[in-house]
Amino acid sequence: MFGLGGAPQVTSDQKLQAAEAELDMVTGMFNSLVEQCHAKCINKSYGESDISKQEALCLDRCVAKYFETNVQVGEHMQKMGQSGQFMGRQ
Amino acid sequence: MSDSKEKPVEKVTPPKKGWSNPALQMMGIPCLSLPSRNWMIFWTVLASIGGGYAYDRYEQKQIRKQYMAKVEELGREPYDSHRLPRKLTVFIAPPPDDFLEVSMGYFRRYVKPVLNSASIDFDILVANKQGDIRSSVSERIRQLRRDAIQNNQTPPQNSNGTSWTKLLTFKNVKELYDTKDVLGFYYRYPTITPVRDDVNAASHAGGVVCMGRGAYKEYIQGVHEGLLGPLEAPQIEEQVSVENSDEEQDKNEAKAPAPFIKPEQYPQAQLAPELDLSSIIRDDKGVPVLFEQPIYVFPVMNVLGFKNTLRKIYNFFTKRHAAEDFSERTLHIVDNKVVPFEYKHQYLAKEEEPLWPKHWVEKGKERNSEWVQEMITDDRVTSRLKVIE
Repeated sequence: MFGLGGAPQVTSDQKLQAAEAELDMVTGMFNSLVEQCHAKCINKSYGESDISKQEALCLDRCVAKYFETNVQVGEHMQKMGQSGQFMGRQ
Repeated sequence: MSDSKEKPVEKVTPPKKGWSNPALQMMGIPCLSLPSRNWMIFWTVLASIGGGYAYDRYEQKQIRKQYMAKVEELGREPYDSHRLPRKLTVFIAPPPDDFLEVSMGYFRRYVKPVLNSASIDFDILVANKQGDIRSSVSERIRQLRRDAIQNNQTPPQNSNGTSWTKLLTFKNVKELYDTKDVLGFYYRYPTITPVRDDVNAASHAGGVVCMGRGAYKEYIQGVHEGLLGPLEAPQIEEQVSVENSDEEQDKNEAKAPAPFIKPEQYPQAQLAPELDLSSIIRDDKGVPVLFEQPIYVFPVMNVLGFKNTLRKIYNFFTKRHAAEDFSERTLHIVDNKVVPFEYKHQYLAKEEEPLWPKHWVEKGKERNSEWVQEMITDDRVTSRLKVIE
């Protein structure tokens, strides 16, 4: 039953690898995002348990900017990858 | 003895006048004296110019610091993670016959620090050419009207889920996963949907900031065009743009799209029949849309022209006055005292118009530029507008 309907192009191994790579990338991105925005925005004296309005605004902008940059860089890399400028890739 | 002593003295040039001390002389420090007349002139001019500039910079910094400290307290308020601060929309247009950098500089140096310190968010919209602000504002309002039509007709469609095979090909990140799909804590905690403070303070939500009279005129015209104009561009306008294009194409600059409606046609036009104007119109996040937000205008007093050289020099060394003025005005934005739009508000920042170069105004009149024309408003639109006092 399984695997008979239409030969799949990719094996489950490859799928797993791809998923793992995805997850690694995303986790790495998230960690560096947290680290950078924390370093930039949060007051190191930790006077209060809550974040202040200033910090909230800074974090909001920091995260937005990070994602935007990430997407832009990703798109650029994709373009480079498609045009074959990467050495030994595609 | 005395002869042999005097001879070498005559050969050497006479010692410089000035103050000295044997102890200093023994250390090899020559006679201290004033430099020559020419050097004195040089150093005095240099020191007064440099000193004037440095003093002005210092004062600007002090003023900025002072105003930032005034509003700093507002940012200390403890804040939940599901709240977002008030957000302004800033329109920046270059002053007539000058570069964008001028009005941008005023914003960056004197307005932005105070806004940041008061933790007010802002979006900057920059006009690269005349008509940019008008067309983008009116396009936003038209989009709103189109959406209103669509919402009445069809419910939104959901896209299909992503399949695993898509992962192996290059895809746009957004097609693959949403941010919250991959951040672990979303599985445990309910999704946080941040709400802007503007949503709950609808009467004085957000704000529209225009740098310069031109930006203000364009904004007001854009609101009129969006609310009163047709949804599709009229055909007649294209012929006009073709005529103009001969001159424009040389410069290789694309003109902003022509207005969909002329100010003379305002009284006949229907006020946005698609929108329900009985209440405040909000976007999908609940924030009142652009034209429901109060307006504030900064006059950009930009002096131009060769004959104004003295004035320009004076302004260069007294930028602290501009700093004081702009920062003081920014406090009005922070305070956000809103009044309804009145007739007099058509003339906001009018004081900068006499400074506009005459040849530029002439050229604008020839080209029918919206900057040099009187502002024409319609009561049905202006009755919805608000102004920060």
